[in-house]
Amino acid sequence: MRKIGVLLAKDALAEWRSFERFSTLGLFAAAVLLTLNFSLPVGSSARPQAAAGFVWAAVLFAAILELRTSFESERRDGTLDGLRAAPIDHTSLFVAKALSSFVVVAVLGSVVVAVTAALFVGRLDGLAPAIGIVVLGTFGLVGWGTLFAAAASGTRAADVVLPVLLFPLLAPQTISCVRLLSSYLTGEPLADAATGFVLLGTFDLLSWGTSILLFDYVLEE
Amino acid sequence: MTRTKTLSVAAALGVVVALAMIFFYAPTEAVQGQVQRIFYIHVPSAWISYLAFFIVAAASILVLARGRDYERWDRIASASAEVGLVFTTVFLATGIIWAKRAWGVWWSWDARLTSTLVLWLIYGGYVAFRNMSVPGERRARLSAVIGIVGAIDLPVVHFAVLWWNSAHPDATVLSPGGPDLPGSMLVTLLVSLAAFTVVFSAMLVARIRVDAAEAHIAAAPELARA
Repeated sequence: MRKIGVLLAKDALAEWRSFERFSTLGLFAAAVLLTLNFSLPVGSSARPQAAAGFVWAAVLFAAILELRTSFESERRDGTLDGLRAAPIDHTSLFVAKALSSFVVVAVLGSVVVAVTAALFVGRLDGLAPAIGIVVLGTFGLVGWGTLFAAAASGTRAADVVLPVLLFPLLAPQTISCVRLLSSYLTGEPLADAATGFVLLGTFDLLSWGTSILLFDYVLEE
Repeated sequence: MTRTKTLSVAAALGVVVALAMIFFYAPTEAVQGQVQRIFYIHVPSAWISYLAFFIVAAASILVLARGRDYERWDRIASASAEVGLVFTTVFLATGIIWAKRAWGVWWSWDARLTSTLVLWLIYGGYVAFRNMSVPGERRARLSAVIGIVGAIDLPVVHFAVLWWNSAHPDATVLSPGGPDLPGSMLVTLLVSLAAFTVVFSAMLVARIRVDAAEAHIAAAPELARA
């Protein structure tokens, strides 16, 4: 537990000094929202319905960027070998890395939801549960995200393969998040919302459970 | 005859028999007409896709469990993924053609086609990852992790897509045949399935042999030096 805390503090300190991750990811998410907005006709009435998909797309793209830098910066600075050699079990290493990305993407996602609710939907009523959905969705996302970022890091395939593998694997998470988000943002009730939450929770558990079990095999050189 | 040759000849014969039955033995379906015959290609390729990816998952577990003796299972997993991808492509292509004739649209986002598209993308990613990584023990381990995670994800994908689809009442869920399939149709389907399985096995064995030969050639300069 303490080891996880030390690793998290290390990532937090690096972020505090450079402010690199939040600033680049925030700008990137804003750029994604802008681009997606152009996909709708001017004055379209579909904007509130499209908002949930826009939020998730921005979160997913930003998460890919975050997961890439999370391992690539360690590899670039040669600190990944240090981490591997340190007396830290791989499970703690996985948990720390995944939590660190989770905090970054969840905070960013919450801001994205708030901005989108204000600008695209024009109502802030369902904002609290909507943020909850994004946080839950991000949790599952960073599980397999961290596993595959570690797997892809250092290979020629890293840039291409991470999104190619992750996007289809995350399809269930995308489906449940977008539908639940859409319902809260627009205020239109969803008949079988409970199923969506079960899906979201199941995915979170599966993603973290399998990643903890398999992380050993990924980290070995 | 070698095993590969025997299997190839059996596969060729099986395909001829299956095609003959599809076009001359199976009755023309009352509502959809001739286009329904694509069913005998569509359904077996779906079954083979799932069989192939089941083999990928099982072989992947063995790659991780066997440690040093991983090469054999890695070869089986990668061959099965590649051949499985071919059959999934056939499944999707026949689905698209059938949908155009039966429902008037190329793609309906119905639950089964959508989850198969996700399946196709996952194993496409698996094959892409292998092609872009350096061959060796680390690649075997990493692709095994992808193979296992992909297999765990599939049921979740399936349920998620069903749930997503349930909110679209306009989407028709395709249920060809079902248990009340007439006898001659069922026999044709089973013969076609058997033929597809033999074709799959022949392709799998051939692919494994090619892979082993490639590894042998790659190792040749080192052997010559030693």
